[in-house]
Amino acid sequence: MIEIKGVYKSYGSVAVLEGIDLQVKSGEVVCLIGPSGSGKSTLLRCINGLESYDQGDVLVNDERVERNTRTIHDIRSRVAMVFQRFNLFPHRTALENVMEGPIYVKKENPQAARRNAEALMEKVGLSHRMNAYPDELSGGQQQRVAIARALAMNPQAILFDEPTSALDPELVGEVLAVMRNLADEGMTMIVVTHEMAFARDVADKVCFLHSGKIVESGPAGEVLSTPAHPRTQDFLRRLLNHSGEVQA
Amino acid sequence: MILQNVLDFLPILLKGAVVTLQVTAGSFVLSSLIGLLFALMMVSKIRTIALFAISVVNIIRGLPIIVQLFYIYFVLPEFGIQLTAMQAGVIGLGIAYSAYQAENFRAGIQAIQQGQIEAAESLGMRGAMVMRRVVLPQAFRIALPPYGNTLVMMLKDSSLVSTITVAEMTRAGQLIASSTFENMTVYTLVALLYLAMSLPLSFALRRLEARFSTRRTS
Ligand SMILES: Nc1ncnc2c1ncn2[C@@H]1O[C@H](COP(=O)(O)OP(=O)(O)O)[C@@H](O)[C@H]1O
Ligand SMILES: [Mg+2]
Repeated sequence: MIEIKGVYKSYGSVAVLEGIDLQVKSGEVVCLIGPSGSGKSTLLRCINGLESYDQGDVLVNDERVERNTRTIHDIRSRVAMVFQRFNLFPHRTALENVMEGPIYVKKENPQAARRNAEALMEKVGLSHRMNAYPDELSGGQQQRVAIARALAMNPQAILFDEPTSALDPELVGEVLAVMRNLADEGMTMIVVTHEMAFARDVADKVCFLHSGKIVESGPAGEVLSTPAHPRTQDFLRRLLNHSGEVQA
Repeated sequence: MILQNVLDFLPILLKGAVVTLQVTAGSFVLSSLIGLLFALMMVSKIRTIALFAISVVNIIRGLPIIVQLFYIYFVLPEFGIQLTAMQAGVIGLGIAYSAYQAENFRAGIQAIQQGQIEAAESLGMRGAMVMRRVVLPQAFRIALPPYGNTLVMMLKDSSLVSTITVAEMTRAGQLIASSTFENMTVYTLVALLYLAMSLPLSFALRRLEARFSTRRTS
């Protein structure tokens, strides 16, 4: 359902994406890993037109994604995004954050939108915090509200850009648990993450980015336990030394 | 003797105070509307619109308010635009202060984190809706302290419209003083009446800020 074909992008003279090819089928979970600055966020942002690209095609359901076109708003309402820094609307309660898209973008009936939002808050385990403002919630809670906000659009796919990187370690688990559930339910997801255990357990495919190229990709087990490319080996070794988390 | 004077002058000055409040309210609303329009133009992605608004705001800011008032009240009639003193005062003060309001709002709008705009866009919101639902509500909270400040300044500067014969409080005081020569009594009363309006206003604004500004902005 998401197809990326030969995508190039540069900022001025700095090449950021150098010929990316990636296909994500409906119901698939793809994890993007790679060192900081390798272009993971930029790639993700090209998929819903938050960023433009110079060459190639990004297709969502065979529709070309292009910033500043008339169809982009429609595509965005079908491809949700979850940000590293949550980006909840601080002037609205958790529940209002979740209802915002359905009511104002999809023009749903407010009562129906509220009922659906309440159900989603329950699903992410926050039915007791629906009327809290974002600044009254922990980072983990805020990110779960952000996931509920994404789900409220009833999206065909969700893009996650390092959803747990801004969280205190003890709050990472609650967010990953929600994401695991979504994957089990068959949600199409592209996840930029450094959580190797999550990638190994949940991803159908892992892609390793380096300097704007996907240098290695394949089933999670293969890429993470027997990486072929020296860059991948090097990256995983560093990560392992750091967290002691990756076990084959 | 003094008490008698006070009792004589007070009703006249209070009538002037009502006009002062009317001028302040009218020009505050007008300056907010024009200022918001300028602010939206200043942050426009279309460069000519932004440059136009920035130029106009700079020109307005570079002119003394009294000169703007004289121009509207004394010069516009020569172009066939006849305004009452009250209308000229409200419009003149409103335009003069729209430049400061524009700066207040622009600063508020530009303080909104890019992530907020991206979150709204990624829900599929279009530009105008992003402004209305996400940027402006937060910008108003951020702009509230300077906005309140501007209101207090306008209350005081409404005395400038006395120069084009609007019978607000300062002018009422001038008229009494020039016929009675009781300068001390009159201007002390005028000063106290201004304080009676501006201090409670400042206090109320402080309360409002405390409720809004620290929390619930990104
Ligand atoms: N707005 C921008 N202007 C210029 N360079 C940018 C911009 N955004 C990202 N970059 C550069 O693009 C490269 C890739 O960034 P990014 O996609 O954020 O990487 P990652 O998410 O993998 O850490 C980096 O070298 C970064 O400095
Ligand atoms: Mg990134």
